[in-house]
Amino acid sequence: MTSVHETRSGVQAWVQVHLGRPGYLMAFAGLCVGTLLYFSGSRAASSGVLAVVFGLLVALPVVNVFGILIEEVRRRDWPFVVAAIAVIGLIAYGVFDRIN
Amino acid sequence: MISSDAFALLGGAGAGFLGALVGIGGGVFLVPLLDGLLGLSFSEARGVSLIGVLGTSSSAAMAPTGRRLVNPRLAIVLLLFSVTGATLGARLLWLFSDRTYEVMFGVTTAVVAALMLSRRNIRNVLPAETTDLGMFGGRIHDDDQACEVTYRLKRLPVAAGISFLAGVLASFIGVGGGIIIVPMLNALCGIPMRVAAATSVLMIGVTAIPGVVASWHSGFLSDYHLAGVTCLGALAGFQLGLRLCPYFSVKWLKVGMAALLAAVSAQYLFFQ
Repeated sequence: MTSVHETRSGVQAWVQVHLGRPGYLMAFAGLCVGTLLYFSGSRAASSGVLAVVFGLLVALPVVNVFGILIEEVRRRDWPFVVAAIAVIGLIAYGVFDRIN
Repeated sequence: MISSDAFALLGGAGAGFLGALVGIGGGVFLVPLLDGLLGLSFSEARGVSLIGVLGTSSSAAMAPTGRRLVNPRLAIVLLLFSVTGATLGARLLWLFSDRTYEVMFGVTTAVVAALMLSRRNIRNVLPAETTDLGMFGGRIHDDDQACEVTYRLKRLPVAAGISFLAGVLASFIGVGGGIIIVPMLNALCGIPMRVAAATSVLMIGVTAIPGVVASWHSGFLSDYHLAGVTCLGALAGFQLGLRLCPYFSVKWLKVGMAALLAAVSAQYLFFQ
């Protein structure tokens, strides 16, 4: 059995650089804007901006799981593909069950 | 108002800082701060804390891509159990009173502190030439020894059970689960501290989602401003922690964490 280090592809690094970092910077900027709006007296606008940021923060960890899923599909390592799909399914269930 | 914002910002920064150093979301320090110092109810503190945990987890995207400390295979298998636990915990939130959750919080932190102190010298690294690393093993650069080392997962069922418990507690007491996953993986399952920490940071954001949605749905996440300020602090604190991480010894990180956890535990068990 080969180790994690020897078999890792660049998918996760790509996800981190091209999705994770822009997402992080957008969240940081959104939090700054939301806080400034709050202190300037625009409470409703502040809440709206912060709600969008919180949605983004919920989405970002799921992006990492998709990154692992893509990597395992490329390697045709099906037990881990099934595990990643199951995790995404559980999160979707947890979110949509509450919303509905 | 400004002073409570400053406390939340500093608390978030401390949580993010610890997240970068030891792989926890910081909920274990945010909840007592929000609950004890800022006067939020335990349920409200739990919701705000979980937003801070999401911030800490998202900050990991800014870590250097070359260090490869995260073990994605281990993360995805353990997430299966932690997210199941978190989903179950989020559905059962109504079962207990705030005081019961406070006692759970105190007991959890006490157990983890004792475990950290008793196993503080464990490093879990094998020589670089070790070939049989199993399905979840890996090879990393050890900063303490300044050389390549390997590691191998032991007791997968224990890791799975711990992850499930961490998920339930994430939803119950507002932590990301890293505070349980990191010491247990390190002390019981053969994973080096820095690998456990990096893998945990990936896991805690996902594990926190059911609890965040449940808190929002139940109306315990109504103070968006406080949650936003706390999260802003977490994002900034994580970046500071990333830069200072190589300068901290793993052994002294464990001792410092154990002391902080013991203090938090005493607050909830004896001074509420």
